[in-house]
Amino acid sequence: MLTVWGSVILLATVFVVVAMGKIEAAVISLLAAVVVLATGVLGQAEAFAAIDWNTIFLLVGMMMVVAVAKKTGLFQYLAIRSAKAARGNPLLILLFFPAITALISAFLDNVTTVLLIAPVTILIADSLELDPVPFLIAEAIASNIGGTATLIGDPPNIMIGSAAGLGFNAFILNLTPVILVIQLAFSLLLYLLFRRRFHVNPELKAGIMEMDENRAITDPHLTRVSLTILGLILIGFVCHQQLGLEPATIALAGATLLLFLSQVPSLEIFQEVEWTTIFFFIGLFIVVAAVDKQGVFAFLGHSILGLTEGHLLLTALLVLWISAFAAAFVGAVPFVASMIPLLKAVTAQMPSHAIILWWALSLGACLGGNGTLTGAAANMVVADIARKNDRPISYLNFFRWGFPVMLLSLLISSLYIFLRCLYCPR
Amino acid sequence: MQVKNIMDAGCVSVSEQASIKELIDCFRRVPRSTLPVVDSQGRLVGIVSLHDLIRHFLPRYMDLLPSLQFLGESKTLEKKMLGQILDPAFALLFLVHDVMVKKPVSVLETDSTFKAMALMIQHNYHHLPVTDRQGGFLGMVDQNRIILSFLNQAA
Repeated sequence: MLTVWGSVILLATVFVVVAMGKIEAAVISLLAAVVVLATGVLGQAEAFAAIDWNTIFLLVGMMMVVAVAKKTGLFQYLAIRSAKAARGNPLLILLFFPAITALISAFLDNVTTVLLIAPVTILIADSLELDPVPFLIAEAIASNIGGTATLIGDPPNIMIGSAAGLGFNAFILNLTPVILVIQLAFSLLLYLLFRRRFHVNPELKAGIMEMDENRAITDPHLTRVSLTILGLILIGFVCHQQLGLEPATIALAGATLLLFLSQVPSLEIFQEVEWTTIFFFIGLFIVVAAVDKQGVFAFLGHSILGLTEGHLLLTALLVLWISAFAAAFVGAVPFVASMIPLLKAVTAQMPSHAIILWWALSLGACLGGNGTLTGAAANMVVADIARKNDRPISYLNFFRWGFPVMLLSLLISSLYIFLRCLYCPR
Repeated sequence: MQVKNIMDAGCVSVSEQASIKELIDCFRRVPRSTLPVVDSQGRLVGIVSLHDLIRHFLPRYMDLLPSLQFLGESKTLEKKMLGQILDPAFALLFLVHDVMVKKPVSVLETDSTFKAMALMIQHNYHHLPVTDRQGGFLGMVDQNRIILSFLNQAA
């Protein structure tokens, strides 16, 4: 009994401390894992076996690929090219930049995507004598939306895909369409809200046209190599089930091939991997496994089934909305890590089309990141860059934009889930 | 040889409470790239150069861009930055204290010129401030002069 409550309290502590943000997430997560090991709640071998190495190495592999790719200046090239395609028109830039952010976020992690696009966004906004904040917030929101579209777009999806055996193509078929709709809705919202807000001097727009995006590319050879490898990785993900290879293998293969071909010193690249995130995951997996071993999630799963009486639509909607609020206020990754064993227990008792519950978890946890400034790392990174450039984004300011967009995206997702459940037999 | 044999004694210094405008005027008058910054008691508290001034006002986001080569004429960015530096209202917000290099590396007048030279290379200072034991500013050492004097020893 002690170990049951002990492990639950340990997991809850990780949640709370991460939500408060005062102590580093990785530190508290590893500390909790050490408690689990030291008290013998899990044996070391057991604990290490509980770590989802597929998730870990998929993350590491993609982080390495991005570390190389971002040296090329490719993303700045894309941003400036599209600003020029928009002819410096602020409303078009407000539609283009978040769209590009969403697209890139679907394949690269959200934090790096916004890190790549935020500086050039501020530069372009400054050149047009506009406030960069609306553009930056829109980009943060778009990165969370886009990241939901694929297996590799957002860590919660990687965890879910790994645990539920859902491959890259499964995410494309099931989530990409609804995400496209949500991104379109978001763009429409931006258009409606901002269409009369911008007034820019034509001279300033001409200043944008003077920028030479080709000179943004720092290394054309490296750019070609990076794009080729990115393309191969994508093909690898699409075919991974035919190839009989797991996603982590694909990512690692791409990363090591890129390292080999680009000849960038490996230390440089390894240093760019977000080890704090990786160790946070490692600790979290161990703590969650400790709680799972006590049968807590199986018990909770049964209770939920009892509540909803196996009604699929209701359960799915519950998962969607609770996940979103949990992600917004507590943190998507710890929540999803805990939900995985829970949903496994639930879906074991339900028919095969209970797969919709996993999609509900994914949509909720990823889209919920838009709800608050602290809901997603990408939001906080954007706020940090904005603050360092004397244009701080307050918690309230972000909430005013992010929360309504989150609600909108959840409504669209609910509709999607409803329509899907219509076509499955009870 | 000791630093006091080669330093530029009693050279111009600027107060840490001086405004940016006063700093720029000083650089216009005095043919030096680096000025020592002193407090009200004449103690060395920093060094400042035009480089530091521009570094402070150049937008932070530029540090995050892999290359600035794509920039066009950027008249707007120029105007904005000049506005910040020269606008009297803005200038009042910033003092020399805000743009200077704080707690600079310095040497005593009794230190060897070899040590001074090595320090300048290590920290990439073209001008090294010299103080007395209480931190009172005495003068500056010029990197070119000290290297040439070092090389001339062989001759």
